[in-house]
Amino acid sequence: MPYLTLMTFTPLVGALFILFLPKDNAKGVRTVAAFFATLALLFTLFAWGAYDSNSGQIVQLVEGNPYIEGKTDAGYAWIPTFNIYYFVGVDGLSLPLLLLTALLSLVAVITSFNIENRVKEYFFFLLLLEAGMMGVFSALDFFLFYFFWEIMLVPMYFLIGIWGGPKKEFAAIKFFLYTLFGSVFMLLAMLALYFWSEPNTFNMLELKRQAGNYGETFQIVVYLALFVGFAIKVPVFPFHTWLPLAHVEAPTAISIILAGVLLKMGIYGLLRISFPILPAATLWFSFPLLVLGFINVVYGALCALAQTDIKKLVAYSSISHMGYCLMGMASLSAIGINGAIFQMLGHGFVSGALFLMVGVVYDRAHHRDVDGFGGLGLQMPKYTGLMMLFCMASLGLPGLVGFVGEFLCLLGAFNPNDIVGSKTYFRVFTALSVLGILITAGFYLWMIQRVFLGKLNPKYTELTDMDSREKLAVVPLAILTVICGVYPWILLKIMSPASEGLVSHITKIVGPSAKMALTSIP
Amino acid sequence: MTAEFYLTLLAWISPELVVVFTGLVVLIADLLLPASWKNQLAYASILGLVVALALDRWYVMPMSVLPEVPALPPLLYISPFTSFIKEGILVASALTIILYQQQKGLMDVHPGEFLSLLLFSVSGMMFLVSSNDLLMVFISMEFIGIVSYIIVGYIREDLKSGEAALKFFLIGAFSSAIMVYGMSLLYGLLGTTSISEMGKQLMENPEKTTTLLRVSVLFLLVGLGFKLAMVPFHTWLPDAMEGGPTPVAAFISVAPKAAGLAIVIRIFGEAFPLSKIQMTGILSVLAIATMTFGNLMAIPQRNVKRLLAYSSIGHIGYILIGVIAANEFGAAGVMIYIIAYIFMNMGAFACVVSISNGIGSDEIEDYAGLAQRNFPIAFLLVIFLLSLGGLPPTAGFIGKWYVFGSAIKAAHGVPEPFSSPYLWLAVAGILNSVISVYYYFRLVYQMFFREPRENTGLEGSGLLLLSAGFSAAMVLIVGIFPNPFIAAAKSAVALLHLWT
Repeated sequence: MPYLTLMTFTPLVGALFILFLPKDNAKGVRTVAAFFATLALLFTLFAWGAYDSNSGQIVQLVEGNPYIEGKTDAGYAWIPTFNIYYFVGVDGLSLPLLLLTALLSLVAVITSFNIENRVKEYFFFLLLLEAGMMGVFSALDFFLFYFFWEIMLVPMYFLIGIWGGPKKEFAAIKFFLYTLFGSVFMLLAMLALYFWSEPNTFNMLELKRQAGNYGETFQIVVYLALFVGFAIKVPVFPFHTWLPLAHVEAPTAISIILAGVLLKMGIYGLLRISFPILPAATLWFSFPLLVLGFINVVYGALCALAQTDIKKLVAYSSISHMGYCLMGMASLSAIGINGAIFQMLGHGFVSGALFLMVGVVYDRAHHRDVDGFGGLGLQMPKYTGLMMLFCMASLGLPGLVGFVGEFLCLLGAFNPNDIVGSKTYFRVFTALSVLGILITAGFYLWMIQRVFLGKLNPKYTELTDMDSREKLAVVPLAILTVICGVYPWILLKIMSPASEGLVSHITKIVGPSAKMALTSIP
Repeated sequence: MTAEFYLTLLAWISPELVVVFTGLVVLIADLLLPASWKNQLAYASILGLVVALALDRWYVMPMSVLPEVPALPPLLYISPFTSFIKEGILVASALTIILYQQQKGLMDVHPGEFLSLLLFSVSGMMFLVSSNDLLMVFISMEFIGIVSYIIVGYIREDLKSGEAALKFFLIGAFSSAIMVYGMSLLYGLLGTTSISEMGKQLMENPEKTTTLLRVSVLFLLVGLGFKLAMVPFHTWLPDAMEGGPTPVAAFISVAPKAAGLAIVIRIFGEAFPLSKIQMTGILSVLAIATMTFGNLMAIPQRNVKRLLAYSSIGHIGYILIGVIAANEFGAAGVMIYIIAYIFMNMGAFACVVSISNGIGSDEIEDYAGLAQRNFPIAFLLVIFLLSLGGLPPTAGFIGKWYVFGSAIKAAHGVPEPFSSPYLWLAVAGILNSVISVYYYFRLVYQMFFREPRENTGLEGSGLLLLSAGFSAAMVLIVGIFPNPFIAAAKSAVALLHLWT
């Protein structure tokens, strides 16, 4: 079964279907959207079941591979004049992210049931967005990847700009232009890789195979061009200013998608494209990447500490959490990269849920001011319990999903791959980044104290606890947070082969000469 | 010169003849028929264009790829490349006539004259595309120019229209004078005015590439740059497009540029390759100036027509990248970009005409809340704006990807790729496309994010919706399944005698 194609195009079919529904039939639109999102999730679960992590084959469920032996016309040719194929497949890196995307999209659809304004357009754009995200994670052809990557921008622009908060227009266009600015550099990098490869190709696996043939200057230039695109998406420190604005202004469901899925695309792009195709540049950039990750961790946490808006607090904590991924990746070790992938997933569950929870209280109280509440634990016990669970997961309490990711990332960064050279500096920065964990614990606990503990604010004696629709959306995320925290192997067994493969690929290509090249870096 | 020679000639130029003949028929019919028949005149013109397109596609183009091509007179050059561009021009003209017929008030003033003038200028463009001689280039360009001045000033009572026509005329006359001077210098230097001959001369005698030759080429560029509205010869375009009737604005932003680009590709591809006469640098500067200026000036505009005028200057800048890259990628990229540009711009103008028929205004502010008043038109306009901004899955993305790709390919071919002008062209191109998205999305912002001022629905004409829908379908087809178009462009370019 072509699961990947099915899960990419199911939401698209749903979106087109919605376009032809009558405008006033809000209930019908919601049902259709939920149906197609569920269908996409089912296909993803089937794909998960069909993926065999013991087979030794890293990339599986491949469709349209143009390089099947013995057949010249094997792939699904899309633009054969440029050697572009519809070529999709998954490995331990993309499969968990696809699952995350399908799950959070369904959660977003359920969360959005309370949207009353221009319902048809809303769900059209939401499903279009899901199709784009699925495409990004399943594409193995760079052109296809870029195609989906860009397609995603437009629905996001509309979703923030029409249904967002007070400053929605500005947030929408800032998000759009910022991301576009990054991705156009990616376009040039993609073209450069095409023309410098021999034979010319956009096929990521083929480009990876040729990774040893590119000169170092070329690699560094292309790496930096790609990095602009990916760093804006992550977001890495100086490029992060779009994030708090977009997250805060976006409607709840879109914040879930933004934090849960879109932020992962930067890391995913680095691991999928920059690392395997440009190993020399990766090595050259590993220490700067570590420092950037460190800045993200500490700076994001400090910013979060200063916020009084709960949504903004969660948004800045995302910047901090993405920093751990960068540090883990920078180590170029299998543990660190495993940690980065795991952290992406964990952060997806937890921050998605946190945004959802913030939306729940905002729907009731119509504000998100940390100091405006107090004693909500008495009034909304179920809400408080779940919120505390996610806050603990986010601050890295052992037994919950956040801990595993952060721990593996820091473990990797503390003991980087031998080719990296300057291990002491890695260790110093890893040790310093523990500061971030401390601050994170600080702002979450302080937030919990001010919002949920103490005396109940008399204004809020009427607040109702979570209703069943909200519980339906959030409980699966809570279960996953606990399960993956207690038994992380469930995810790691799928991720491990991919990260080990990536590390051995990089080590093989840049291994021997690495130490000489790196003497210039402190 | 035997009778047979003339018959072959007639066969070669049969599409042009059909267009001219239709123009004459429409002109005379307007005198003879009662005024109530004016719509039929428009349909007859479209029919003529369709017949010309069919002739070109199924008669002339197959003839040009025969193993033994019938003799062509030395003034003409006909190949799949010219057919490709001509077909684009014919489609754009047919769409223009639909816009003209549908816009309120235009058909009341001498429709026969207008339509015949338009058709004559189309024939001029077709001749320009197949010129193989500088004389032919000059005559066709003057022909297009004179007709364009008249149709821009067509709304006689409107002072703006007259002013635009006068400006257009003065700058046009000035630049063609300089161009003729350059042509005469080239004739003095090389002893020929034939494009293919000039290329051969330079290839065999590289020492003929003197400073004077470069200056003459620059003079030639003045005339061509005027036609393309390239900085610094662009000043007429925004005025002409704002002042002239909207369908004329659509027409002059698309068709003459397509024709001009075709001849630019031939001149700089065959006769004077920029890298061979060491003029890559100066043209790169002009291209970057063109795109940057066009896009920056588009930002503060309040009138949709003016905004699209500046944006079309920007697009010429991107397309010039393909010309400068001067490889087979560049030429094919320019062809794809032209096709994309024709459909996205004509489609956008179809929406603009439809909207201005409804709200009686071309101001961006008045587009507020359009998505709630007429969703189909607003939705289609978003597709065209996405394409103009170069985002997938639209034709505009494929066009940009292709011309930027040609620059990267050219950079790959030189020893210092990272300091070559080609890389800077590509970087300027991508940065400009980010800028352009900003102002295109100001329209989207008005249409989708703002609340409408009046809550009444907006009636649109079916024919306009149809032509916008057709353009949008083409934009998406070229954007999602570009392979047939790319393959056609590639094989057409392979038959050009590019000197690389």
